[in-house]
This record gives sequence, C-alpha cells and structure tokens, in this order.
Amino acid sequence: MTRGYDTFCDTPMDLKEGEVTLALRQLNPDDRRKKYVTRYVRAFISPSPEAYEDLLWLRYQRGRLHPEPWSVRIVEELGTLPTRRVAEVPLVRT
Amino acid sequence: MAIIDNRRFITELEKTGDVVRVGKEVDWDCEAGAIVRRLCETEGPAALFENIRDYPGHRILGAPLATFRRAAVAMGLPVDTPVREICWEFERRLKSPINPTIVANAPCQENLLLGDAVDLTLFPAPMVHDGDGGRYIASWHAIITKDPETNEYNWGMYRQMIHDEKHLGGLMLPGSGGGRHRAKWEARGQPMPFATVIGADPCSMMAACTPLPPEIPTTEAQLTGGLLGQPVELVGAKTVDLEVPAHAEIVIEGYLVPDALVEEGPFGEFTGYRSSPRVPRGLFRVTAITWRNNPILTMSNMGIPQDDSHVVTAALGARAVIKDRLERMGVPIVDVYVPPEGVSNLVIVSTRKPYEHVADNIVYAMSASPYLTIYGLVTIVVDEDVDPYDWKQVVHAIASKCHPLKGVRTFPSIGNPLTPSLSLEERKWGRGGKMLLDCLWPLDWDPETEKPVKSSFKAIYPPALQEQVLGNWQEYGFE
Repeated sequence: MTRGYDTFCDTPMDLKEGEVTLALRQLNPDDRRKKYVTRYVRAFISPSPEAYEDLLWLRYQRGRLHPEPWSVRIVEELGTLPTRRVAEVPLVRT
Repeated sequence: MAIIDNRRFITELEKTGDVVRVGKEVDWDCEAGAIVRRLCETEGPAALFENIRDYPGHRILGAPLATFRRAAVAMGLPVDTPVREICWEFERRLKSPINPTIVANAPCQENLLLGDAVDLTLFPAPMVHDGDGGRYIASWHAIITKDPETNEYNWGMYRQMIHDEKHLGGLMLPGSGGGRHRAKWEARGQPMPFATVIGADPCSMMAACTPLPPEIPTTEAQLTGGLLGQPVELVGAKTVDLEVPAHAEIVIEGYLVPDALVEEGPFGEFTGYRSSPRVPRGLFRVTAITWRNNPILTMSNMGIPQDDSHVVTAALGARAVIKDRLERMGVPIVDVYVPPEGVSNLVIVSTRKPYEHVADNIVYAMSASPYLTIYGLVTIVVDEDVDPYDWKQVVHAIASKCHPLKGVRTFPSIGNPLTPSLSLEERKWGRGGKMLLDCLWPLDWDPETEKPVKSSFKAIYPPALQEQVLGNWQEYGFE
C-alpha cells in the first residue's frame, strides 16, 4: 500500500532532491488515530511522484496544499523530534 | 445553582435549547471542525458529539461559549440577558474575587496514564481546520503554570497541537502571563511544569482567556470563583507541582523542555485567518494524562466571527480589563465595548472628553500594557451620546464625525504574529501599529455656532414635543 506523508515548506524550491532529514506527518497509518503524528526521518525525496514508493505532499507555511505531490522513501526513523535551540531561531515574537 | 463542571453546563444548555446532542458518527478529522465552524458562523447551538470515529466512549463539545446566550447561562444569568448587562456583570464579578479551595480527590483524576503509557493520540483531538499544522487537542482550555520566583499561578489559553504521542507544541507569546513564566524558567535553564486543563467548568475557561494584568490583583482561580459565586475546587496534579480544576474533563501534565523548539502551526485563529507561519515554538513533554470517565474534550473552532474567543476573550474579558485600565489611569470614559465582529482587534470607547487628545491618551494607555498589545489595533473613540454597544450608532459616528485627515491617527507599536494585515516580516519581528478613529467633536468648536446639531428624535426636538409624540404614538396608529 502506498503510504502518504506531508511536510511544510516555504516553497518547493526550498526542498532538496535526494537524501535529506525532514519532519513528516503520516497521513494513512495503520492505526488511524496516529494520523498527523510527526516523524523525523532520514529519507530520499524526489519531485517526481513515481520516483519512490510513497507520496510526499507539500504544504505551504499557512497550510495551503501544493497540488503536485513528490515521492519519498524513508530509510531511517530518527526517533526524535527535530528540535532547534532558542539561539538558532532569529524570531523574537513567536 | 453554580455551574461547577461542563456536564452541568450541558444540562443547563439543553433546558434553553442551546446545545444539540449529535448521535451520528462524526469524524475527528475535519468533519467535527466543519460542523462547529458552520455553527459559529450562523450563531447556532453548541454541539455535543457523542459518537466520534475511532474513539468510542469519548465526546467532543464544540463552541461551548460562542454566543452571549451560552455565556449568560455559564454565569447563571437568564439566557436572554442583554449583551451590555452580561458585560457589566462580568466586570462586577471581576472585582469580586473568591479564593479557591483545595480538595483531596477529584473527578478529573478518575483515570490516569503515566510515563511510557502516555499517549496523546488516545484522545479525539480534532483536526479543527483543513490544513492546520496538527491536531489541536487544546483549543479551548487553560495552560496552568507557576512563577518560579513568586509561586504565583497563571492560567492562560495558548493553543497546543500534538506532535507525537508524548509531545505537544504551542504558541505562548512573550507578553502573556505564561510567556513571562516561561522566560523565567528558561533563564534558570529549568523545565517549566505545566498542566493543560481541558473541559473545566465554563467560568474557569472564561477566566483563563481574560488577559489579567498585574494591576488587577486577582488570579484566574479567584476570578473563576467570582464568576461562579463560590470557590472553584482545585486538586494537586499527579506529576507536577501545580493545582488544577478538580472537575475538569482532561488534564495533561508535563514540562516545557528548556531551550528546545519544534515547528508548530499554522492554525486558523481568532482573527478569522490562518496568518502566522509554521515556525519553531515551545516543546511540551507530557508526563501524565488524567481524565474523567467518558471524557468530553472541548473544541473552539476559531475563525470568522463569532467563536468563543470573540464572545469571552474580547467582549467580556478584554473589555472589562481595558475599562479597568482606563479608569485607573483617570481617563474620563463612559463605557468600553470590544465587539465580537472586531475579533479582539477593535475597541470602541465612549468618553466625556474634557480635554484635547483624550482619544490619543486612550490608545497610549492600552498600548502601554504588554498584556493588552493585541487589543485596540483599531480604536474608535466616540462621544458619550454614542452607544458603543450599538454598531449602527458607531458606524454613523465614524462616517459623520471622524475627520478624514485629522481624525485618523496611527501609532507604531508592538505587532502580533497573528495579525493578518501585517506582512510576514512584520509578523516575524513583532512590528505593528495602532490606528485611532477619533470621532469626537473638537473642543474648540463653539457649541452654538460651529458644532453640528444632531438630527435625531432625542436631540433635535424639544422634550415636551417628544413626550407628546410618544404619548400619542398608538393613537397615531403605530405599534
């Protein structure tokens, strides 16, 4: 069964094709109660929806769905959340 | 009879026809949200979803306080109490705090998940809007924290979404009570204990979303007591040193992880837009979840007016606090209203105007409080003969009395990341502004020769003639 995931980005141009680490939300897990749970993974991604076995949908920062899915192959579950330190984030108000 | 929990609240709402029990299966994934959104936009009843897909035994109460009728019921007032009287009563009770009491055992702890067993996905957290950044388990709730220096409590309503089984992410702005606590804990390099309280009695929720500044020496627990007319019962949490409302439906306990941020949002907010970007925000690690049997998760679907925040946060809570602040500063006001249609951004103040630039003073007084920065993005100041609760009168004042050049004034100020009209850069950096619509007649206009005469029944006819006309009204053939 093809799995579906989504991830957020400013623009698809920001995503690098090939091997990446990124946070995904699972869209059709076996246990439906786990839908939208975040998984931080090492994966291969491609703008071609046929390149890998699973689909990766892209959402812009305000939630709008990019109409064309990418594809993804997860090679490793990193088992954590992608945290950043406060000093690494140049936003003062959010 | 004080409404000490959500279940009694639902019973009371059933008596007035202000809640509908939904027995048909409803999906937590957007369907419940869509229903509640439509109810908000039509000022319909609250919805109690009793059959939620994937979650037998759980229930969701949508839009519990999205109308003034339901706010009146929550406060024990007649359901058809006029809006201004609900506002005045809230203000009176704000000034009549009652201390909470501590109990040893509580309904909110009938069930317990601890440590490795913690799993947030066991609860029907709704995907409120299509495209939200996650399932917002906390959209109408209180996050309880404690000041590490003074031990003072804060109850605040700051959204929280599920990242995974044991982690939440949330927006807690620096100017908020919770944000101030967070800064102190982070400065110590220590995790901040928190308890997210879902489905407490409606007065607790009203208190949690009232922006109490330091000059009002009332805690949210005391305000809850004042609103209830009796002490709110609190119980010690299981894994953190905090006390929580005993009759809540669900309590999530844990710690804000120090110096760790994870991308959170976006979320359709009270402004009516999903405007703030998905950016790194606080990470909450959950240590325990307690809940009542057959729990009722509360959901607010924030968006286009009118939702719970427009009624409670804006029209009741913020209005009372803004009026209190202006009175403390000696501004000669008559009344204040924060209409639901203004989504907290719009404040209307009526004043007697004994000095020039009183309208500017009103804006300065609100802007100077970090607790009130999100309010009064647009402030309309009207003379005392304009009723701030009557939108028709206010619009007429703007159209007729606000000078197109001199009456519109703008001020730089702290911005809010949720403000839709600000650019992305402004939202990121907290840059914003205020606009004043000064609808007051200039003081130096001669009342006899320069000030226009108001052409209304009450103002333009002699009192004797008014009395005569009113006395003969039915005789003329009018109802």
